[in-house]
Amino acid sequence: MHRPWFPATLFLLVLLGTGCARVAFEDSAQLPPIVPDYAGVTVPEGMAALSFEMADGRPFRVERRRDGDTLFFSVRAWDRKTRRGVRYAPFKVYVSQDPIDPYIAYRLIEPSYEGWKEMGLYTRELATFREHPIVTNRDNRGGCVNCHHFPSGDPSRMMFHARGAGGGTVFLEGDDARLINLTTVGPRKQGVYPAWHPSGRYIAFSSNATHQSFPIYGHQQVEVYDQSSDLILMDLQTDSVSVRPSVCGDARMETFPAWSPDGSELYFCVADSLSDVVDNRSRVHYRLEAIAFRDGQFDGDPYPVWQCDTLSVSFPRVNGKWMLFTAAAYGTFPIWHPEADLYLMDLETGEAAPAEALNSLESDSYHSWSSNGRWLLFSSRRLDGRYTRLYIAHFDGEGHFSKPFLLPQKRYSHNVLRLKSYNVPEFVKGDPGRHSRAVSRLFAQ
Amino acid sequence: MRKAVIPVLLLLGVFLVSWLCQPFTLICQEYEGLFLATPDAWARAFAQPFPLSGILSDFLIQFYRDPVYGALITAVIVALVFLLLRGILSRRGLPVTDTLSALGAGVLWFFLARSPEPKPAVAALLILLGLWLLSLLLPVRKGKAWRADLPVAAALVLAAAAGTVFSPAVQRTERFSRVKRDALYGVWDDLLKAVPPSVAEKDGELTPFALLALSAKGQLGEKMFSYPVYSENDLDMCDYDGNAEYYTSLLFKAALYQHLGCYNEAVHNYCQWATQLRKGTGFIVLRKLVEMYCLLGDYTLMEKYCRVLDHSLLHRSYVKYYRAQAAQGEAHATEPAAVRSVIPVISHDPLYNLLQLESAGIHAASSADRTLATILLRGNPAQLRSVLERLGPSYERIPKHFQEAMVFYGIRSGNVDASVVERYSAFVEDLQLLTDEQLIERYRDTAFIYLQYAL
Repeated sequence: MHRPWFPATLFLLVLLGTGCARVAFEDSAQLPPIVPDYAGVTVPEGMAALSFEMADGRPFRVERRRDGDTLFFSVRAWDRKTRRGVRYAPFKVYVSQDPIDPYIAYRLIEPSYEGWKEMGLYTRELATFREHPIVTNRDNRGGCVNCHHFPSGDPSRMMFHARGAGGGTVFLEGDDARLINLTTVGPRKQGVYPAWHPSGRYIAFSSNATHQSFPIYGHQQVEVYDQSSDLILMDLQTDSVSVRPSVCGDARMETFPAWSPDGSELYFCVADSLSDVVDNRSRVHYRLEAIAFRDGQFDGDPYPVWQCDTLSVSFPRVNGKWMLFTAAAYGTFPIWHPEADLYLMDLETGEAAPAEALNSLESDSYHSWSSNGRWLLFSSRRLDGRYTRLYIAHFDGEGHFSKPFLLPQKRYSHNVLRLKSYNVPEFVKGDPGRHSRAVSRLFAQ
Repeated sequence: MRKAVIPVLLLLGVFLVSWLCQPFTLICQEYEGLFLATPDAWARAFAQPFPLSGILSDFLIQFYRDPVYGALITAVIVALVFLLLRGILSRRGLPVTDTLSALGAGVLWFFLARSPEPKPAVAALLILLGLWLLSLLLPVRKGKAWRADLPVAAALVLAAAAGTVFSPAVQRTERFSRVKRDALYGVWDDLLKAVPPSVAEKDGELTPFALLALSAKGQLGEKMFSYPVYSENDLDMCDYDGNAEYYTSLLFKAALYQHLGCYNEAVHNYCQWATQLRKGTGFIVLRKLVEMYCLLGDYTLMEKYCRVLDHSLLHRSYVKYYRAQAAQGEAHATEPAAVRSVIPVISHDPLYNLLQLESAGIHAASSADRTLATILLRGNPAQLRSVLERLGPSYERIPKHFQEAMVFYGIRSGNVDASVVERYSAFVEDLQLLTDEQLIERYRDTAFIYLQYAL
């Protein structure tokens, strides 16, 4: 049987195959230049797969192999034009058996300026790439939703602020949702940064008069500052708000409350009030103080915990005898400060030092400890200097962090293509997404 | 042949009217549109009401960047709506299928010409497509066509065309779109052609754009009072009322600070403006961010937005151009904290901002004009004197309106033309002789009227 198409097809296939053939690999002793840099990171067991790409965009293939608690990633990459390939030295990823809280919660918002279009509080399952909203500002007619918080990572209880007309602070418990406008009770101060007492009964809030300014040139495009701030305490049993003059006055600005694990102390940041804060912003240095808490009340006067004349402290978070905080050169809003770094403090010795393994040249800021204290979730702008992304690092309990890894996405490019920043990341021990119905019902009312 | 008359008439009519009368409207629809093949964009697309028509509309709007394609797409949509309507109605044996179909298509055209996006028209097209498919299941009824069906249908098409061409709303949208394009891209001559003083008289929102164009061309001090200037707001749009004015004010400030070379503040206003757009951003904002970050030497961020735009259909050469620019440019280094902490900040006071920009060495050729014009409009003789002493020597001849203010306030910080002095003397004499209306009519193109009455 004469089949003239057969040799022709065969010839074409051979030609095609030859054209597509990638030249034999060159072996390289170097690690592959990938983004994000996952080489040598420590991940928890069951984490969603790490996805990455070549920094220069070359096509690549990866082979994964596990040996005990170590994953080996062998990467081969090709040049698009010459089709020459390089086989890089395999890089390792360590798997820790320390469990991690299965969910995280964060806000997604454009890192723009005064206004916004869409924002929402979202939850993400760490074992998968599933992300879903807890509440978006479509629910509250385009208003702002912020400062979400869970008591010790308990997903059954949650609070957040809903700003705008008819707004207030939303408290969620099981299927119940209620909204309280804190400015209508007690000292008539609005709540901003929350800290839920370990007993679950109290929440300490800072109450901040926050403003923004925009430098006319330079890398830093926004400066956020407080003109005043105080601490207030809410009792969830009586829905009452109280203040204590030693942490609520005009002479000082108190902010960023954080409880000690046993709830006997409240740590916070404090700076002396200044007139014309914008022009004097280089002089605004927040220090760490604490005040005792007994029988549902602050007890005594605040006492100093840590200070440095050239650094300004924010977001203290306690994990046993360790405290992690953010330090910037000045000011109260480190996310816009490229020099902002995370510092680890030993509360027993009172010594603090930069957590070198975590920090980058861009802002490294808001952080949250996992419920067992072995993992740290923090936000960083190291990818592009503007869009905050989430990183996770393992903590050995002895003052050492492993190299942090970027929260994996199905494709790395999602981190580049997403036009929103991650805000206020928190570990959660379960799925808080079930609150979304209660919130929708509440706002519909 | 007879059957093709109305569709061809519609196709040609809609195309020509859209292309000739609404080109900037179409361009600005692309500016504010967004179609990206990214996970977040898909999620948002499917979450919107009527996702299919939304996705199709967003896809089509990309092509509006060239108004020829935009006009063609509009024409095809309207013609298809006519054909589908006729297909449905003709199966029912109605005698006026062309008339009813032309009426439907004409009404759709009427709304499409006034809509900020083609989504409603695409939705109508999809619904009609569904109905037409359903109608295929029905038995065909035969009927005799009305003799005047075709002429009436043609008349309806012509009426719809006239309704679009002569519609004040369509004309205003087109003019504002043109102003928007010209301001964003610094096409100042075209902007001044689009907004002569007579137009600004009717539409005061355009005055700040015209004054921006004048200042960019170095004519602010000579011609600003040929426009209706009633307050400082006509120059800098610092106050706004309601969402529409807020939108315009942000757009204006973005264009202004870009022109002044204050790219940080331009980025600020572009991002704020983006929050006023339907999708929270738009192609134009992404393109402007690429341009601003390229000028700022922040190539990392520039590359991010390039990569986002690379996930649209028609930005390949644009992205390639800016990547090449970045490859040749020198990235701007981050300033140390000690330096950053003393950088002046933008305030809500435009004059303060202009003075801060000047002190920081950021100024366009028009900065001095705008500074003096702002002080003039605030009616502050002491400040005018001190700023003139500083800026006056930079002028070969102090512009006319600033001379008028000098004469009015008796400031002797620079040379004043004899003609200005004579005109002021005549003005003072006429103050006693003429009524206010007559005085305004005679001296409306001078600073005297503003200084005498507006302050």
